[in-house]
Amino acid sequence: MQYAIVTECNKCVCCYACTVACKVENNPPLGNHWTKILRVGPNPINEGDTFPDVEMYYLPMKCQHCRTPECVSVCPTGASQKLEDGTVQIDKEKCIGCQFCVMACPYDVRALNKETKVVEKCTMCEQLIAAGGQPECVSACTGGALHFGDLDDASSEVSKLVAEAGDRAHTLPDVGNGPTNIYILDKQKWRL
Amino acid sequence: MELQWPLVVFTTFICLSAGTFGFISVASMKKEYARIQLPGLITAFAALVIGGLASVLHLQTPARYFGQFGNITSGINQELIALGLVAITMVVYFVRLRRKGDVGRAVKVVSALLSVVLVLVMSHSYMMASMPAWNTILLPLYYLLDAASLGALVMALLMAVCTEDDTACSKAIVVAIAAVVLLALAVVAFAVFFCSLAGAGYTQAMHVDLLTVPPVDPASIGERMLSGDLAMLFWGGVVAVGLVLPLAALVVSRKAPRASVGATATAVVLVLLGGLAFRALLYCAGASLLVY
Repeated sequence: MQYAIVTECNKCVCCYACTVACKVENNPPLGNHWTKILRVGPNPINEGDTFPDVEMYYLPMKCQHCRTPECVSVCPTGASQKLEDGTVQIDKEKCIGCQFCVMACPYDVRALNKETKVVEKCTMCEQLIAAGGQPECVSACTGGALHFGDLDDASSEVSKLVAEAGDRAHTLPDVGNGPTNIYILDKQKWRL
Repeated sequence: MELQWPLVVFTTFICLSAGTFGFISVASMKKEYARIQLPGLITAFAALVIGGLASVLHLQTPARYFGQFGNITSGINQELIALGLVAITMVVYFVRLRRKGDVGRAVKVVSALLSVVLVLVMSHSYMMASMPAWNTILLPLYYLLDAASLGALVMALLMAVCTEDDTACSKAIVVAIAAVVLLALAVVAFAVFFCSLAGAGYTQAMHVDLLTVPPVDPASIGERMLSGDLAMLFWGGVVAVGLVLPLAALVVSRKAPRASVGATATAVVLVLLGGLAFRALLYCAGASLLVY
């Protein structure tokens, strides 16, 4: 089982609904964001092109709930752990705030909560998915760009989306950690 | 990456401790170096304690650590195990030295090997695929040579203070000079490596709410270090303070080591400061492969 979020980048309009919904649901401290929107581009469509022959897309960024997460490997207390549903979670009672997981994450999506002195990140709204729901960012997405489901279940909506996308489905740069969130980008060149 | 001073101090003092312990263990196999064992051991143990305390300061909630070694293969736990083994060996060394006046060859060999292992384990925990600038074999090489330089310098200093053997003192200074020269070569290799990062290894995106503020390109670390905003740290801190001035001090003290204790002591402090500066540079270079 591998819960994941599949993003159709062409449907993301950078409305920040996911960022706001995450803040409301999970209440990360001021300055910390468990989901952010990045902008990739504008880049020339073909080498040497100039405006208006440029393209760009938005990239919702959060924990990628990797298959072999480095954050789990470096955690000395076992606070960071890979659960059976495929999500990576942090046991806050065990976290000693060494922040090696912050350094080991290739995507800079972990941050120290200076109030509670533990490291936090996107939990894929574990409290909601445990009750049969879906992450709040997915529910709030105004463009319908975010999809949640089990990537290891071939009949799930996300698996079908990925299968249909073929070589238009991408992940963030993989250095052996196996990011599971998938980004589908139509007509544009994936530049990460 | 935000500079983590406790970890900078931790790695510096662990190098000082391991280097000193390793050098006195090996050198004292020759009787003319036997007298520096006790002061060397005390120096190494004190550095180990300072380094250990610094690493604890880095933890946000250290009290939770006890009884929760849930992941024995993590770098931090391996560091802790290696550090504990070295501390135990130091105690064994001390007890045998006090009881019998000297320590057996086997204990000395184990002490030297464990010192090397401690430095290697410590450096390995910072080699992360997420950090292209750290994920290089040059990192353990630098730490080993930093430990060797500090150890050789402390040995030379203690020889000048504790003995009256000019020949042995001069030999110790020559060993220290050789170690610092090798450290300089490691720094040069690291500088070449940093420059080779330009144009490779990183991808960039931008925060949509910071449209006008482009991120600093981490691949420009070589340029920043050689002629940019980090030039003072590199040329001033790492090269001048950490390598050139100590070498000059050692060359001065080589002719009359026992009369030049001040110069040798200054060299120890300068190499220590140079090590701190180099580690600060490492943190400036430490950026994730995906930058935004």
